[in-house]
Amino acid sequence: MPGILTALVAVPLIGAAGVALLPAGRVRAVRAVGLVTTLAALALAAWVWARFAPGTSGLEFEERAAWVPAVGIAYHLGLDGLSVSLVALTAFLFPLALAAAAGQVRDRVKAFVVTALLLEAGLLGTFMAQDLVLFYVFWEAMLVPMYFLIALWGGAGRAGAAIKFFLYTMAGSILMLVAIVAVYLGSAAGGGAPTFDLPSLLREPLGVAPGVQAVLFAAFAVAFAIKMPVWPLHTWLPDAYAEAPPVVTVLLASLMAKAGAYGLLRFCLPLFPEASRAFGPLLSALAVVGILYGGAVAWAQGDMRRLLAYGSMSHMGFILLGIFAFDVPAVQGSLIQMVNHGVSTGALFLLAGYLLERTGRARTDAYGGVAATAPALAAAALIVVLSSLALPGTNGFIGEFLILVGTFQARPAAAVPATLGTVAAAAYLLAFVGRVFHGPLRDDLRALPDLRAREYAVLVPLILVIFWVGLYPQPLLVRSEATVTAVLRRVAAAHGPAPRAAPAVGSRAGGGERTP
Amino acid sequence: MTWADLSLIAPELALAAAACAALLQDAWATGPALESRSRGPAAAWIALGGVCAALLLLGVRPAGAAQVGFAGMYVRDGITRVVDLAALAAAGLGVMLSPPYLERFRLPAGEYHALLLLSTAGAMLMGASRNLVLLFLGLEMLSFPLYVLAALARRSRRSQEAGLKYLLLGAFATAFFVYGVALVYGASGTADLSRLGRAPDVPLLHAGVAFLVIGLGFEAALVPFHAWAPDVYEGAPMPATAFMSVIAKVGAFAGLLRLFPQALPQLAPAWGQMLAAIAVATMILGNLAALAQSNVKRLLAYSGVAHAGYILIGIASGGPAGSSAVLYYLLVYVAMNLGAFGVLLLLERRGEEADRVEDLAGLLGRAPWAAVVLAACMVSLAGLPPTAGFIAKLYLFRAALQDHRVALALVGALTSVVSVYYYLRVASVALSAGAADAVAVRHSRFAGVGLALAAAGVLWLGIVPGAITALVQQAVQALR
Amino acid sequence: MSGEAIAFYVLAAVTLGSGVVVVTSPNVVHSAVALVPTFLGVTGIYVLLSAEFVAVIQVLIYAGAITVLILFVIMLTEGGTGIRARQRNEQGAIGAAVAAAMAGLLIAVAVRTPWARLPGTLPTYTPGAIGQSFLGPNLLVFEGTSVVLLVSLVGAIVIARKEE
Repeated sequence: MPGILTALVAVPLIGAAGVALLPAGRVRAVRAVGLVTTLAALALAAWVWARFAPGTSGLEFEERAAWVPAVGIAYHLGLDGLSVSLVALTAFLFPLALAAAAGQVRDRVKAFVVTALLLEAGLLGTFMAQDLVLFYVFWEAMLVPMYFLIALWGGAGRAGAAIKFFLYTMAGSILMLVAIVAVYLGSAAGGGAPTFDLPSLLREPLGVAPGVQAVLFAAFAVAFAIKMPVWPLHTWLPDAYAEAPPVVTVLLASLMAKAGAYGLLRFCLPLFPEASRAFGPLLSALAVVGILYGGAVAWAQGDMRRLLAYGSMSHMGFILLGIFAFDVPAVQGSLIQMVNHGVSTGALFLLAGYLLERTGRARTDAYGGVAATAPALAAAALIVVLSSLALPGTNGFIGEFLILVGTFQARPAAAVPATLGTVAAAAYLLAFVGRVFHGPLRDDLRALPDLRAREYAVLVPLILVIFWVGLYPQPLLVRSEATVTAVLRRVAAAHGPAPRAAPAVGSRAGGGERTP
Repeated sequence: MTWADLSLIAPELALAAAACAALLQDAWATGPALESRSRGPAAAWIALGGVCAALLLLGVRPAGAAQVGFAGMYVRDGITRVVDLAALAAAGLGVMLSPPYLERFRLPAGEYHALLLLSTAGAMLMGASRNLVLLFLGLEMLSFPLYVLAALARRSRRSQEAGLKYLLLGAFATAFFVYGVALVYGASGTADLSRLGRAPDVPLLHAGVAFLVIGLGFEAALVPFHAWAPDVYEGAPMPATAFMSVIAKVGAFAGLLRLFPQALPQLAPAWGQMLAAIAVATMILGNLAALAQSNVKRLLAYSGVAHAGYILIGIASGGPAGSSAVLYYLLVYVAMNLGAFGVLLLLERRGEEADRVEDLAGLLGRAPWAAVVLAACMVSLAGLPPTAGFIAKLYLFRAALQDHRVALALVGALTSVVSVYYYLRVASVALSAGAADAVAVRHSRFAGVGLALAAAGVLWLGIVPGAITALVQQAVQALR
Repeated sequence: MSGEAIAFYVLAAVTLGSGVVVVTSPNVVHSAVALVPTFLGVTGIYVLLSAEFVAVIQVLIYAGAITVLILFVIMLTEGGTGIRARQRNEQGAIGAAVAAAMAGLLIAVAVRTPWARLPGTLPTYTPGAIGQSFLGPNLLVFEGTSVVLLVSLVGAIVIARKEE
């Protein structure tokens, strides 16, 4: 079906325009149009995901048109093994987020839905763009709606948190823009016309000196690292995660952080293979520091969402670790872990949002014994926490296992301390469950209602995905394998040994079980 | 003079004719009374007609080889075409956005429109100059009406002060310009820009060029010649502020384009460094000063200073890439800056201009479309995609890196990050909840269409820039 | 030193000296009257450059009309002749320093420039030649100037018009 990727970006935009034309007073209609739009995008994304042919490393569903021919900017979309599952994840989470927002965002609903749909278009475009400028456009285009979502609907400290978030990410990304232009000019070194087109850029090595390549790599990597975030560039994270409305935090943690990790895989590794290898140890070390630091700080947090924020950062460290192990299983594990983190962390923040919505209390010690009055909520929380802890049978296990196995092969010195991170995760997450849901029931929480039908509708799909990926990860693995191998071959071709072969997918985890 | 000469300046003639018509119509409608009574839209329609006629005359002329007229003084080429387009867009939007304000604050509509049109013609002459004398005349024709426009609100002492300040400092800067013309003439024996390229490289030529830069830099509000901008912007009546903020930049940068990349490419090694230093100082100072402003007019004044710095990147980088970046940026700047001012022009706080940032609070609730336009223009001024400001900055960075001016690109990039802070503050106040009860929103169909056009320009130039990039690319083909 | 050079320096001194009086005298009438020698000094320089027509016009318009006009304005203003204004402020020293630096720079430039003798003869500045030039090659500038004058007129009226 030609044009399906354009349709995927266009659907949220058209939906946003449709919502904008509705009268602001008709809140139900606004919400309904928003939900239908995101469901339509989900249907398209699901179709694309199902039809994606595994086994090829090239782009599928490719679309290309001249955009600014005067300077060689093209409208070029495409999907490969790196992006197809992230597109599906994005389309999957948005309807859930909008459904959850119905209980949390009550004023300026129309503006909220329009902004969220613009954000969805930006995210989907980010994952599909194959032209550097087009990618940058989508990359920033998702930043602006996110700024407004935090600044206009956030908590008491929203203005400061939003601008901090924006300035951090913008500072990183504008340097990336300068680097993009430098790459563009460098691509003409061989005498051809300069281009922003990623596949064309990869056809031959970049015509820049090694020192310049290192600088360009750093400019790209810093932009992505801020977004993930990587320690020590994370200081915007706790404020933004804690001040944003809960559903927006879901989008920030589940999707936006992934855009950073995706960018590293999509641009840094293939464009600058030598520099990637050179910086690999440093980034692995930062990843380990991030894992341990995030875990330790999360453990000390009294605020529920700050706890989850640092925990999320700790988990993102695993993803970074896997990417810079330059090992096929590890990178595939990272890709799976991106999806997992999106689902599990998203679910955690949603649950935190449900608690906040019910009581307005942010601190964990203001709760206690919630399991007694809201058993379904507590059960859901336990499942999600266990998946975050990488319990076998849940999605988290597959991802972290692959990452750690791969890293043990490639960088044992980094893998050993990283395993401590899983212990730290157990400590802070179980402490969170214990403090909030167990122990004596506080008197002022006796009237706390359990999950409502609408909330079930949001949580059940997430939990299903947790188990599906945990028991049968093969569909994700086969989709990423060929592309990951190709990317790593590029990195390895710079110097050093060839990457290890792909894992025998499906045999390692889940033991061949076919139960969904 | 021949008919061919006359047909070259047909767009300028259309504007001058419309200006006279607006003045006469005003006199006719006023009769023997002392003060103009015509505040109806008649003058605005006449002005708009003039602008449309000029656009039409611009459009019917086939784009092609450069045509020279008036004994080699006047040139109509690709650059003229784009500068005319930018100036006429500024005039058209300026006319469309002002009527509600003129009516409410009882400003003389006939004079306002006549001055606006003549100033536009001045900017267009600067863009078409092939001779320093004509460039000087264009500069005068551009700035004289602006002095008067700044002082147009006679009941406001601040407006009078703004006009006087602008006049005195402007005259001072113009004197430098004239002196520069004299020195350049002394060094090269010609005022013809097309012959300056062969001028001997003597100190006198450099001194003359420096003075020309002072004169043009004043009009463009480049540091250190920017000191007038905040006070004049703040004191002048808001429609005048809006118009002068864009037309002065169009004229001044058209002049700089004619001077540097075109007439004096042989000075690029020496002057590129100098201009780059000015650009860096302008970007840094403009953006840092804007951070502290709570008055939107002052904020936009410093923002205008900052943008002058950005545009100067293109001049300093030179060559076709730099020149096309400048032309593109001018078009974009007209749309986004007038869009932002256009929203402010709709507001009124108890009989005064609503020019404080907090006056914008709750705009989304009362005038949702205006709030969205304001936000879009702010996003574009900050240089974020998918708006026009982004493509414009991309063009500038490309020009700078192509000319190996990495520092210039980096300063431009980092100061853009600073600028995000104040632009997004304005945007988020406008989109926030809560109402500034004292602020009233006037609705006007005329201004609404103007705002829609400005917003469409901001999005069009950002999302489908192909046609315009081709136009600016073609405009600078002759440069090498 | 040739006679021409002596004449130039004398005229320059007159121009500058009276110019300083214009911008420093606290008495507004003195300032206005001091304009006359300033303009006459410039006139003398025009004569030295053999631009007699421009010199005559300079005397007629600037030394004659403009100065007289300014004096009339002062006299017609309420308390005009009695106005005493301090023309200097605390930034005078900075201004003087900048002016001195600028002068030094210009003198250095003038000294270091190799003044080439350009080929050709001096253009004639007769009224006829100037008229030809205005209606010939410089027509656009001539007509454009009329627009600038129109703007000045409109501006003067807008600002000076009595309020109702």
